[in-house]
Amino acid sequence: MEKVSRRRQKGNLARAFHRFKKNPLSFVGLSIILIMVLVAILAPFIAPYPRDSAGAVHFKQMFQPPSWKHPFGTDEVGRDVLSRVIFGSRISLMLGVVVLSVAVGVGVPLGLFAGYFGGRVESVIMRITDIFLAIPPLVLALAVTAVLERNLYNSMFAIAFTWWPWYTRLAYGETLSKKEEDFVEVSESLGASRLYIVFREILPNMTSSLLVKITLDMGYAILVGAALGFLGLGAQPPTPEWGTLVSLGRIHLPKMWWLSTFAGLAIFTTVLGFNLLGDGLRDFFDVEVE
Amino acid sequence: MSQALIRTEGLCKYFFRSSGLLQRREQVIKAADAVDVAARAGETLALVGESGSGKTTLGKTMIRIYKPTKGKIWFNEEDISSIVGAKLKKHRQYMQMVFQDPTSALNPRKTVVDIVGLPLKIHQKLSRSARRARVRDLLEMVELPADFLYRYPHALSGGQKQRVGVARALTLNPLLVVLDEPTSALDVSVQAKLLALLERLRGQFKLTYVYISHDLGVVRNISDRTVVMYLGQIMEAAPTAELFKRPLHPYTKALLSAIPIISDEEQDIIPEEITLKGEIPSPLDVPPGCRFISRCQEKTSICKSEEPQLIEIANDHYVNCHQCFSSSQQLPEEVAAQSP
Amino acid sequence: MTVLGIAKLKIHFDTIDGTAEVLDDVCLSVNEAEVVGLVGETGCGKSVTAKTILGSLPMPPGKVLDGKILFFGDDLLRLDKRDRHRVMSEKMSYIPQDPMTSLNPVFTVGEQMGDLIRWQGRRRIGPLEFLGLRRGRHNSVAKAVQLLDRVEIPAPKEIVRRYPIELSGGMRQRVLIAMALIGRPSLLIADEPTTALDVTIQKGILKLIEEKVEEEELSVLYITHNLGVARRLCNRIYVMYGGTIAETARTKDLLKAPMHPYTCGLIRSIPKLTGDEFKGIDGRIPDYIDPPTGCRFHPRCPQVMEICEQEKPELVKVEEDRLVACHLFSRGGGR
Repeated sequence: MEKVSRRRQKGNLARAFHRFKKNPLSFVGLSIILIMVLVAILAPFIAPYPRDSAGAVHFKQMFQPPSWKHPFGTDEVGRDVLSRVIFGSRISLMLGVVVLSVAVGVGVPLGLFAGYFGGRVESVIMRITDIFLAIPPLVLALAVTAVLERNLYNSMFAIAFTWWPWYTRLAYGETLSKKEEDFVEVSESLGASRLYIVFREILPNMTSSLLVKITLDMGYAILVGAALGFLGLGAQPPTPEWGTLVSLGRIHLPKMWWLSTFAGLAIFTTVLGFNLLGDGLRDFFDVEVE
Repeated sequence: MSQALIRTEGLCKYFFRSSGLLQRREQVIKAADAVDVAARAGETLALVGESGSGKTTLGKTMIRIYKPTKGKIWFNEEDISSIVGAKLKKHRQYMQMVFQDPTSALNPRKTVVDIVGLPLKIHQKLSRSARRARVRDLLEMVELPADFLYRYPHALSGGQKQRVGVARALTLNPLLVVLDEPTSALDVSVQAKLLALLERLRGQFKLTYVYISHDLGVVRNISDRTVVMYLGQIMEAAPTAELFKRPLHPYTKALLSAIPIISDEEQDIIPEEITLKGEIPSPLDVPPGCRFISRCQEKTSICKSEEPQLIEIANDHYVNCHQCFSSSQQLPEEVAAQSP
Repeated sequence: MTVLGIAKLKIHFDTIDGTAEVLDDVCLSVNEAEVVGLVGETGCGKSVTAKTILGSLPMPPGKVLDGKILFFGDDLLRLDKRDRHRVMSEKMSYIPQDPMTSLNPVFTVGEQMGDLIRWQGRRRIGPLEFLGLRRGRHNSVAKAVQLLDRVEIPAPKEIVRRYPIELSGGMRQRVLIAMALIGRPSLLIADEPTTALDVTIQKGILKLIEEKVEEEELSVLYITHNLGVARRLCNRIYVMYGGTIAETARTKDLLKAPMHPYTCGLIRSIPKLTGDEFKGIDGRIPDYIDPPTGCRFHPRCPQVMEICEQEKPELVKVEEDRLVACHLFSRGGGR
C-alpha cells in the first residue's frame, strides 16, 4: 500500500517567498514603493506644513535653504518644499495608477479580441495599434495636450492615450500562443462562449507578464507625467507635481538648488523602485514557468 | 448486430494554408480524406496510425471539434455534420474527448474543481455547491481523493492529470468518448492502471470509445475494432482479433513488424520482418495513386496510377490496396463458406 | 575489458524543499563492443546518471557524495577539468533525446557538422584560426557528406545544405548519430534517441544503430524506458528504480525470467500482442527528499517482507552476469 510521505510539502506561498528572496534588489524596490505609497496616503498627516501644498504663501520665508525647520528648504514664495514634495507623491502615483488602469483596461481586451477572433477584427485592431506605436509616446502626448486645456487630468488622458497600444500588443502575442493550448480547445468543444474563453481561460494565463509590464510601466508613466509637468503642460502651479516643481526651480539653479533637486530625487527614487520591483517580478515569474 | 452509435460517410477535413510571396498560393492539407468509419454502441473503436495519418483529425472532426469540410457524420442516425448553435451545443453533451497531453489539457490557472466543473457550468445551471458535489463524485469515480478538488494542475502527476481529464469528459454523462492517445505521455506502469480504469468506466457507464493511438500493443488489448490510417485515409479496417491474426495491407504489416515487442511469443504473431524505407511524406505532397506508394515494397504499376478503394475482403475486414485485392482472389470461396 | 564502470555512485540534489537523494549506490558497467541498456520509468534517475557521466549535471545544487565513474580506468569525477574534457571528447559521444531541439536551427547541417569535424576536442580556438581555416572548409563539407551517407541519409549532398527545420524527425536523428560518430568514439551514450519518433521510423534508426555498433565496434549505454527497444538492441540490461539499480542481467534472461518484483511488475504492465492480461504497479515513485527506508521499492512491492523496510538490499550476484538487489534473493530470501 502506498506510503504517504511524512514530510509536508512547503506551501505555495512559502515557495514563492523563497524565490523572491533570491533577488535582494527586488526587496529594495518593493520597500521603496511601499514607503512611497504610505507617504502618499498619509500625506496630510506627515507633511509638516500641509497648507503649503496648495495656495499658502509666506513671502517672509522665501528661499530658505534646508534646515531643521524646513528639511528641504522653502521655495520662491516661502512654501515648505518637503511638504510639497510629499503631496506631489499623491499626484504622481495617482497619475500612474490612472494611466495604467486606462491603458490596461482598453489595451488588453483589444489585444485579446484581436488574437482570438482573428480575421477582420484582428486586422483592424492591430493596424490601428501599429499606427499608434509608430508615434513616439512623448510626442503624441504633447500633441494631445497642446489641443486640450492644460491641466493634470488632460495630461493623464494624453498619456493613457499613448500607452494602451503596448498592452494590446502584449495581450495579442500572449493570446496567439495560448489559444493553441489544448485546454482552450477543450472549452471550445464544450461549447463555452467566446467571451468566456477569452477572459476566463486565456487572460488568467498572461497575468505574470502583465504584472511585470505594469510594474515597470508605472515608473515610466510617472516619468512621462513629470516630463509633461516639467514642460508646463500638465498640472499647473500651485499644484505641487514633481515635474512642475523641477521646472519652476530650474531658473534658480544652482544657487537655490533645493527647489528642483528634491523633487527630482523623488522622481528618481520612485521610478527606480518600480524598475527594481519589476525586474524582480520578472525573474520571479520566469522560474515559475519552469 | 447493434446499431452504429456514430458513423461517418466520406468525411473529409482539409486545412488550407496560403503561402507564397503574396499569400496568393493556396495549399491544401487533406488531413482526413473520404473516411468511412463506424463505432457501435458499447464497443471500442481504435484509430491507429503514425504522425500525419489523420487519426487525431478524424477523431476531432467526428465529434465536431473541427467542422467537416465534406461528408457526413451520423450520430444515432441523426446528421450532425452541419448543425450549429443550440443544436450543436446540445449534442456536445453526448460526445466528449480526452486529450493527449495531460499538461496542456488542463488550464494551469484553474483548480481541479473548476476544470472538471466547467461542463456543468456551461450546460447545466447548477449552483456552485451542487457542482462541487458532482465533481467530488467524479473524482471518486476516477479514483482520485476528494482533497484534490482545490489543487492546481502543477501539483499533480501525469497520471493524476490524465484522470482529471477523464473525469471532465464524463461530467455530462456522454455516450461517446474520443480518447486521443491518453497514455502516450505516461509511463507504462501508470498506463496500465489508467487503461484498467477506462475499461471499468466503459462497462459501468455503457460508454462507446474511439481510441486513437499509435501503440498497437495497447490497441490489441482494449479495442474491438481497429482502423489503420495513413496520410488521411484508411488502409485497413477489421475486428481487432482478425486484424492481428490476418493483417493484409503492407502498411499494417510494417507497423506490426516495427513494434518493439518483449517476448518471443509475440514474435510469432508478427507476420514478417519489414523495415520501411523512407519517410512519411508531407501531407501537402500526396502522391497520386495509392498513398502508401512511396514506401511500399509490394507495389506494382497499377498502384502508381490508380487510387485503390476500400473493399471488404472478408467478414467485416476491409482493405484499401490493389495488391491485397488481387492476391485474395482465392478468398471468395472462404467468404462464401462463412457468410450467413 | 571494461570501458565504463560506475561504482556505488551517490548523488544528492539541493532543492527548495530539501535535499533529494537522487542516486543511491548506482553500479553499472559497459564492456567493449557491447550495448548495455539502462531501463527505467520517469524519475528513476537514469537521466541523472547519464548527465553525471557527461558532466552536465549542475554541480552546485547537485553533489557527488560517493562513488566512482571509471572510463578506461580514469575516474571522471576526480579528473581535473582539462583532462576530463580531453578524455571525453576523444572517446565518448552522446546522442540526445529530442531531435527536434538538439540541432541549432540557424545553421545548416553542413555548418554544424563542419564545426564538429574541424574543432571537436579543442577547448580553445584562436580568432585567427577561426577565420584562417576557410581553406579547410571544403574538406569538412566533403567529410560531412561522407558521414551522412554512412548513416543512410538519401541525397547527402543536398542535406548538407539544408537547415534542421527542413528535415523530418527521423532525418534529424540520423544527423545527430552521424555527428556523434565524427570523433570515432569508443563509448556512445544514447539518451532515448527514438522516443520522439514514429514507430516505423524508430525501427530504421534502431537498425542503423545496430549496424554502426557492429561496424565501429562501439560500446553503447542505451537509456530508455521502453523494454521492447532494449530487447532489440541491448546485450545486457540494467533496470533502475528510485535512484538505484534493481536488477541486471543478460537481455534474454531478464525478459524471460525476471527476478526483482519491480522488473516483474514492469513487464507485466506492458500490453502484449498475445492479448495476455496486463496490470500496472500500485503506488507512486518515491519521494527522493524523504525516501522510503530500506528498499525504495518496498511500499509498492507485492512480495514485501519485514526486512525490506529495515534494510536496504545490496546488489548480489545470483548467476553469471546476473545481479539482483532484493531481499528475496540475497542469502536465500532474507535472514
